[in-house]
Amino acid sequence: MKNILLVSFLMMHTFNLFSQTKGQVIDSNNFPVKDVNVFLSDQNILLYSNNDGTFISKQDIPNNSYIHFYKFGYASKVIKYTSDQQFKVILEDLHINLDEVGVVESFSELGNTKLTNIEKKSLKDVFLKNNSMVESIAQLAGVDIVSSGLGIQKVVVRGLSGMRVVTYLNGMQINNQQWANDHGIGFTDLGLGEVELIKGSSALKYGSEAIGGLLYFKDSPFISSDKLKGFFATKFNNSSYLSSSQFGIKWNKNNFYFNLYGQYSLSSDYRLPNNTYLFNSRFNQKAFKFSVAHRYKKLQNIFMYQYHNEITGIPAHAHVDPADVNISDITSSFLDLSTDFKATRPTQFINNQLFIYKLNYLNNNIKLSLHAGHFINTLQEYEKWSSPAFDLTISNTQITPNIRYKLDRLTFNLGSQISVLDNKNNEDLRLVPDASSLNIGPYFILDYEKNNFGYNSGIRYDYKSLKSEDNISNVIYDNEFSNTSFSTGVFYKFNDNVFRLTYSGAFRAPHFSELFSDGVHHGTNRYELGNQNLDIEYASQYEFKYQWSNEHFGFVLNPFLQNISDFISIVPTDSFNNSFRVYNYMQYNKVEIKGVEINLHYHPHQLHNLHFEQSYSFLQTINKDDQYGLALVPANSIKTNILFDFNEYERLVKYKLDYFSLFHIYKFSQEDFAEYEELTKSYNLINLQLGLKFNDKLLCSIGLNNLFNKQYSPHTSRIRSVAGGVPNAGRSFNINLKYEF
Amino acid sequence: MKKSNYLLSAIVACSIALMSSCSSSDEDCHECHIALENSDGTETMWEISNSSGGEDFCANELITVEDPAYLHTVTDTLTSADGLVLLPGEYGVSNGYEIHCEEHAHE
Repeated sequence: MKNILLVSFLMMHTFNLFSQTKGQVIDSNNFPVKDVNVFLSDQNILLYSNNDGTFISKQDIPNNSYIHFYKFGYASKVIKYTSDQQFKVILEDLHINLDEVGVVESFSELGNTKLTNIEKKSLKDVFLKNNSMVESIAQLAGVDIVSSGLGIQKVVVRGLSGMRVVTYLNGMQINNQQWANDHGIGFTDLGLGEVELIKGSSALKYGSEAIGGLLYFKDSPFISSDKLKGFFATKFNNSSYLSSSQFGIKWNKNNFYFNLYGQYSLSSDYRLPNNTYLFNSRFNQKAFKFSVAHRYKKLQNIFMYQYHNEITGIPAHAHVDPADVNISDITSSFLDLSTDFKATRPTQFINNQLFIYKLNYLNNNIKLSLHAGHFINTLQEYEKWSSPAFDLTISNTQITPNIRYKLDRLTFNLGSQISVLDNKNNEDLRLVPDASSLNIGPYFILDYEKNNFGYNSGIRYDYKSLKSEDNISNVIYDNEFSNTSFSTGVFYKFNDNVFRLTYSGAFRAPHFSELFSDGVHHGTNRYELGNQNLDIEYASQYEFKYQWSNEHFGFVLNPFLQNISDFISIVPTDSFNNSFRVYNYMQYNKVEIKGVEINLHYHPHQLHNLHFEQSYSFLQTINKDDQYGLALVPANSIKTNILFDFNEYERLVKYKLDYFSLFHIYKFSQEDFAEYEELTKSYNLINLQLGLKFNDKLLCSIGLNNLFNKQYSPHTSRIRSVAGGVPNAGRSFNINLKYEF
Repeated sequence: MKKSNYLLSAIVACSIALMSSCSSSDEDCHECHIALENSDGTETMWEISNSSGGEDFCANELITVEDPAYLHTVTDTLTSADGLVLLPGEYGVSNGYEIHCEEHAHE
């Protein structure tokens, strides 16, 4: 018996040895490159090259799998693996790092980065280096935040937000009552590796409704390693006495892969530049997630679970017209740490649960995938202590089968997105009624690439059925919406110049909040009234992107023009209900959004350690139907980031210095605003950060935000209209630690 | 590997403790006031007392006083912070007043 076991063991081991795939990464001088991230994108598994540049996958890599090689300081590369070729990859030096705007080749969930305008932001160290995930994303050109402190934050893309910017988390659409600005993004950076962003209406595969843009968040990959890997991180910010901690572990044994993460954050009210505190800007977040994968030859199964709990205060609340509020009534002259971390009123209690199952099968030129997800969001908004103003549960089930087929230079993607959404009130008091929808969206996308030329085209047909039968709200509604969306683009590379032209069209059916709202929304201090006559809004976008880069300088020019017809908007009326102004939903015939984004990255040859990045965002929105502009359109901005890396200076490294960075943003004044908004003045803001590296495992950053204690209220602040504009946080410092093992 | 398992167990235990601790209690008591919106958009507030004459409303009494149908009986004349008086009588949503039990910023 012992012998049989021994022989079996040896056979298994032999099998493992034979099934390994080995490769090497070298630079242009034929020197091995260590610590290169070797990302098996079709399997979502990450390997690292060792000291001699070699990497080993413990299992066979199926033919035609995509592998993404990347390391800071090198131009990343995506290759298609074939087992009959020598597996040696050459990475070229690249001192600029413009991956975020797609200068270099990289793998993307949203499509071919050459053919589609996809921007990326690594979230790997966002906990260590940024106040929040959303603030980190907002460093990209054309991206802004709607917020009221760190507790409530959501993304604005080229002036559009809410229902028009669709968020995906690991392939699942996040529906968390995102129609309202006081409902945040619904998850933290916990365990996330990267976010991909498509601006405008080009995100065909992930739904027609992303007229403003699509954010695709994805977890950091599984690792292939014999050792358990993980981290523990903690941070403190003295503006709101925020303390936050995260942990994560990654484990792999044979064909099994496992990731586990947890987070706890607690914050009081944030401090304004005049040393008062915005009452009830406090929040508390708990999050937990894990994912398990099993890979066997060409088949991979992944299961993911995520839980997010949030208790978030709604600051600047008033029972009178927000403009009439005296700022001293909503700010505290001091913090009482024994009480000011506790939930008060009004407050949101949020529970999000996400279940995902993914199946991938890769065989030569075909990849079959199935994504099934279920997301449950419970939102209770309390103004009183004893009963909620509304209590909603939204559950969303989504199934997405997809076939990818490669034929020489052509890649076909054929699939469909099927989603069922159910919105249910748990109380009689309600702002939106019980409602449900069914969405079916088959799509076909074709990519063609040859040498320096590429072409991409796709079409999607969406059918949406929306029903509501709510006796309490007196709503009976049954309607169907359907339309076709499309995207087409060409790509051409000439020496170091890259040209990309895209034309796309999408549509958005009205949301049930826009159709049926009828009640006070304490989060916005409004009485909101829906309109059942609303119909589809249509968008079309032209976008051009020019890129040029060499070893030391990168330049991106990205003009765009988007036309939206039947634009759904909420506008104030002269009526009041229970002291709250009544706002109606209506449609504008035509809205035009145009602008240009420019990115520069300069890196002097004499000083390789200095990185200078700058982005310009210029945006103009024209409402052809009204003398007023659109609401929450961000002001034009110039964002500058200067980074100095100390790692080549032994004297400084001796003092544990890692890097120093300066982030500056200049916001122009916003003179184009909606009827219920007002002009917002220009401002400058400077943040500093010093990175320390005690050893390879223990990292630290010390930050100083709002260096000059500038008093400003961004045009997109959700409390811009309260008391003449409630300012953002004043000068504050933060300290962040991360231990990796 | 054994070491890894201990570490894994410790992290899982810590995470469970993390998730289950620090739950806040909402069974606190709160001060309440009668509020009247003025024509200029401002609000006048009069602090009210509970059934025992104290400031805080707790448990069922808090639920009662926050009910939109509730009418609070004022027995003595009340004076707001800005000197406006509220005569004895019954006050609630039905006659244009509201009763709020929100906490306010520290002055």
